[in-house]
Amino acid sequence: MDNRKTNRLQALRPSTRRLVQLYSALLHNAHLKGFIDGEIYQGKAKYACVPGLNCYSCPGAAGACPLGALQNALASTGHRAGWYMLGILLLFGVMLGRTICGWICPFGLIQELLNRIPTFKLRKSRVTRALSWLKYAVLAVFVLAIPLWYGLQHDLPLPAFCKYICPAGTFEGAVGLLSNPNNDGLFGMLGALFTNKLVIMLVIGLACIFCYRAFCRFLCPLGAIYGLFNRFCLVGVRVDAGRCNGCGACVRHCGMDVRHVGDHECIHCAKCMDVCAQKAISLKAGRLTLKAPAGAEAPEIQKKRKKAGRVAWGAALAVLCFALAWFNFLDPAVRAEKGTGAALPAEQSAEEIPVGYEPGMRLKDFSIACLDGSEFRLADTRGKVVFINLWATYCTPCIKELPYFDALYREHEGDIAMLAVHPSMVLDDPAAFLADKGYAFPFAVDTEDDAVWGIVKGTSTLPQTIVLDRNGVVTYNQIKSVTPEMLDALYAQAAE
Amino acid sequence: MTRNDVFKGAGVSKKKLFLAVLSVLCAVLTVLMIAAAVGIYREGAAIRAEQPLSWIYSREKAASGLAPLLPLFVVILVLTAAGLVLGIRDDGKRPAKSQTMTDVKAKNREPGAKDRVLRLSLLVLAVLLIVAGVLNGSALDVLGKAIKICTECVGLG
Repeated sequence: MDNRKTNRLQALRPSTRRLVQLYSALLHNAHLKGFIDGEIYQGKAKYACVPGLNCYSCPGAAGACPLGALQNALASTGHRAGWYMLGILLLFGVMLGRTICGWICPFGLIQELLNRIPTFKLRKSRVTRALSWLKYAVLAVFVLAIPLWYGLQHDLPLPAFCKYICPAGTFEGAVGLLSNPNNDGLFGMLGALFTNKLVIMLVIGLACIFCYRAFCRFLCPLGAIYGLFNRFCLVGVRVDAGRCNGCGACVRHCGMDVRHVGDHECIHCAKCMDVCAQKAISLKAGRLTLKAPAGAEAPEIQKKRKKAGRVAWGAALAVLCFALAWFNFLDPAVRAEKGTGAALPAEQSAEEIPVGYEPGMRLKDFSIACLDGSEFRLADTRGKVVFINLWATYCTPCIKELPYFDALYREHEGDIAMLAVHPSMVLDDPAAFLADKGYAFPFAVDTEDDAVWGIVKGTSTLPQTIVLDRNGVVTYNQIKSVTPEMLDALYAQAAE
Repeated sequence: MTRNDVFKGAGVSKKKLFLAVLSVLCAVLTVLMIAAAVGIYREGAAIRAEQPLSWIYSREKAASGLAPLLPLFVVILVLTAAGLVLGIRDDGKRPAKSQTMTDVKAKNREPGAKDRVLRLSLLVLAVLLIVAGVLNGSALDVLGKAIKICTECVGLG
């Protein structure tokens, strides 16, 4: 009886792999401050991609998601080749292959935890093996073909996998942002797209409860990419051919749809080491053995390995401590966040209307040089309804709604002032982008310190529309795509 | 007669009953969550058709849709914790030996010299591509799109 209890408790103890997964999930999302204030991290570390599937719109994300970045790179092919993303994926693939899925990916951890719920489980079979090819179709269509097609044919960035499928994006990004009370305004933009993605996320979550790593096995395009490198990646599970007797226990006990150890479906989790009676399987980095089967090595080597393991964990914890300090306190971008989220200093105008960016407040006056050489001065727009639109060349809904703004501007010309502001970070020249569009209203690129962005409370999310009445008082300030009907209603509301 | 005997007499073990109950509860919770989300959307979309500026979702609507599911969620959490502590899990049958012994043995092999050369070549290529990417501005693309996110592109709307 005591033995059974001890065994149960031992079964609950986290394995080394689980600890590495938890560590990695924390490192991927080291911007913990983001979960408190609801803002995403906007520092330079996002130049770097993380290896696992971890949405960059997650408030905690410290790096860019490789899959989202790949789709955006493909969508920008018309402007510049996405060498950087190709190089990053090649580097991760060659070094780690699908070891990333088994040990590093935060969404892999979530799937495994869901699968721990004690329910009936769907075992692997010919059907699941056939389904495992589906992820290559998802990769080809949603990650490669659609973004490339829209990028080259329509000059529109459309990361189709992120937009229509990615459950990690819905869970970490959308739900992560929405769950923070500071982001109540984001609810205004939710509609059919969000509902579809939420349903997909719930269905995938349910599938993961009943089927081990259902998303990873059947749908994940990132796993499909890394799987291509599995055969020769540096770190991975290796079989000592001299010891292997071909009993197949490794394949039968594996939760993934592998045909042999280390094939494109293998996530190098090294669970097969525990069932190999021949002690033929080990986890290696090149020739260095990272994890050997119990009892397969001499005691002195085991001792050395334990010592090295303790040193490695010590170093890893030091890295984690530094990352947590950097991403939450030290990074200049994080320190700058303090200003962007807070209300502007309360100034009282002559009419006793407080200055600010919320509806009912008078927007602080500003002036900015426009791309056509003119200057937009907010103070000069009194008596007109004012529309300020925050947009970017790489934001699909922003580009789609510009013609609606143009139509509204032309319809009410003389009674309306309008300005579209691009963030100071310019990826594609906005002037060149707008050259053949023929929009009648002025465009500007924000100043280096994003002054306009600060005045209207521009955030890390796009598009955003701000409407002022004839007295310069904010009547609407929302991060949301607009429709012509909405713009008409906003104009009518402000013009009253 | 113990409770275990009763279940055995009926041809159902306690473990299987536990697994069946939790399976059904998980499926029911998911279906109800989907129904709540679709319900909020349909109701909100109908209102938006009349009033273009109205919101389909709001924190209050989400809370009122999910609140009735909270007890079910808590029951699932408690049963999951109990199941984990008691070591209850679906051990099921492993798949039959689908491959011959020689198949597995032939395919289970360590990367050879050719693989190592390929690995090194790709590693060099990866570094060159990253440097080229930094020079041609595609690295800036990654940063730009990760810090100023397009809400539609991440599925928010």
